[in-house]
Parts: sequence; C-alpha cells; structure tokens
Amino acid sequence: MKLKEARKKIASIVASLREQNKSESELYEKAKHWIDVESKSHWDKLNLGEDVSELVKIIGTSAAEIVWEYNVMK
Amino acid sequence: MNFIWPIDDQWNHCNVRSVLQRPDIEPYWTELYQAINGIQWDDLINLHNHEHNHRMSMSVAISERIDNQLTELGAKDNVSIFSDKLVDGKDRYRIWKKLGPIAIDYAFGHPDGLRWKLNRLASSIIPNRHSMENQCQLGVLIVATESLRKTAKFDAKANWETAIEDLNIMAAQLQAPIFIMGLKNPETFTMIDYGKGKKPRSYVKKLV
Repeated sequence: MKLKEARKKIASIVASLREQNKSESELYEKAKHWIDVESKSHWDKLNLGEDVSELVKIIGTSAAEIVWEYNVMK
Repeated sequence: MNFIWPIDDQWNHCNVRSVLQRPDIEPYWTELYQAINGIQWDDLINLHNHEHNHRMSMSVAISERIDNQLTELGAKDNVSIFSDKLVDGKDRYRIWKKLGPIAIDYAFGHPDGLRWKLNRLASSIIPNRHSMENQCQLGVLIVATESLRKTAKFDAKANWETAIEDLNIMAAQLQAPIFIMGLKNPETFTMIDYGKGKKPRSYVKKLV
C-alpha cells in the first residue's frame, strides 16, 4: 500500500473506530501507532541517506494489515 | 503549527469570536485548533523532503497533513452544500471538509481562488432558495501568512493579509461568521529551490 494512500485510509479508520466508541480497542491502538510512529519511522534513515525501500514496503504492508483487520471486523 | 490568535477587532467578522464559544461549536472548534496545533513542522519538513521534493513549494505537504489530521478527527470530505441539482449539472458548491457544524477550506493558491472559497464558505452557512444538504454554522479558511508564504515558496499570492482585507471589503456580502486561520511562519527552516526541471526541485533545510 502506498504511504500517501495509507495515511488517509488509516486516519479514516481511526475516526470510524472512535465514532463506534472503540477507541480502547487493540485495532485503534494499532492504527494510532501506525499514524504517529510507524508511518514516519523511515524518515530518520532517509535523512542519513540510507536505502529505505524495504522498510517502506514493511510500513505499507503493516497499513494493509490494519485495513484488512478493520474490514474483517465490520 | 501555530496560527494568528486571538481574533482582533479588525477581523472579528460577524462576531466570529463569540460564535467559536457557542456550545454547539466550541467542542468542534477545540478539536480543530488542537489538530492544527498538533502538526509538527519536523513532520512537514520530512514529508516535503522525502515525498514532495519534486515540487517548488511546501503547499502540498501542508495541505496533505492538514487533510489527514482532519480525516482522523472524523471530518467529512468534499460534501455537497445543496441537495438541489445545479444548472450546469455539476456540484460546484462543495465543502472541502465538514467537521460537525464547521465548514473548512484552505487557500494556498491564487487570490481569486481565495475569494471564491470565502464565498463558498458563506454559501454553506447562509440560507438561500436552494435547499441545503449540509448547512454549516461557521466557516474556517486556512491560509498562510505572507511570511510563511514566502518562506515555504508558495508562488501564488493568496495569504492571510489578503484574506482579511477581502473579508472586510466583502463584509456586507459575506454575512456569515468566517474565521481566517493564518498559519504562522515558525522561522525554523529555509527552503532551497533548485529550479524548474531539476530533481529534486526543492529542499527544506532546518535552521539550527
């Protein structure tokens, strides 16, 4: 999943879970952590000039898993 | 990300200062300003340098980040103001973001776009002959101050100063509470434009 698309999708999942009063659920925590930490975790390495292509793939996959879990839960 | 606050008497359009304190508005307003204040410039700089450095300015990184923050709050995207079909068959009266009773848009482009967006925000609040699908109570237009506009290399001239002046000039027409959120320059970065056709086109450098 591309990061730009993933950021928007995970943000809407966070909003949706909050609306359903599920802001204490494991999925909500996971989605918030993805937005606040995981989605930015490659930036420091990039700033040092390191190759982050594999890390970006992992971050994208992690977002896709959150979307999948959310869709299954619905 | 900070914005110009508090609201001065000079730009307290339709007494927007007291509207922000109304019980039906205040909880949404609090969420909105906390979301904007919560945006870190470091994140914006990284977002630009690593994902939007083919662009001359930071405007896309800023609007994308605000978009995501508002989506996370549950703001609805691109909603129709009117339920009637308009003559051209297109839905040109839309709100970029609707957070409860607040209509939100941003103007980082041409000043004509800024004036159109002011009008559109007012149209989402003031009743008219068209039936409203999403009537709002307050409009918020997000713009850069001139200082930020220059530093973040927005090439178009829309800025907070122009928006305030336009709002005053069109005060009689825009009879709806509209808050112009002027994003401040943090003065923590400078931007290098390498020129058209260069890759990357630009780079944001943090000041030590």
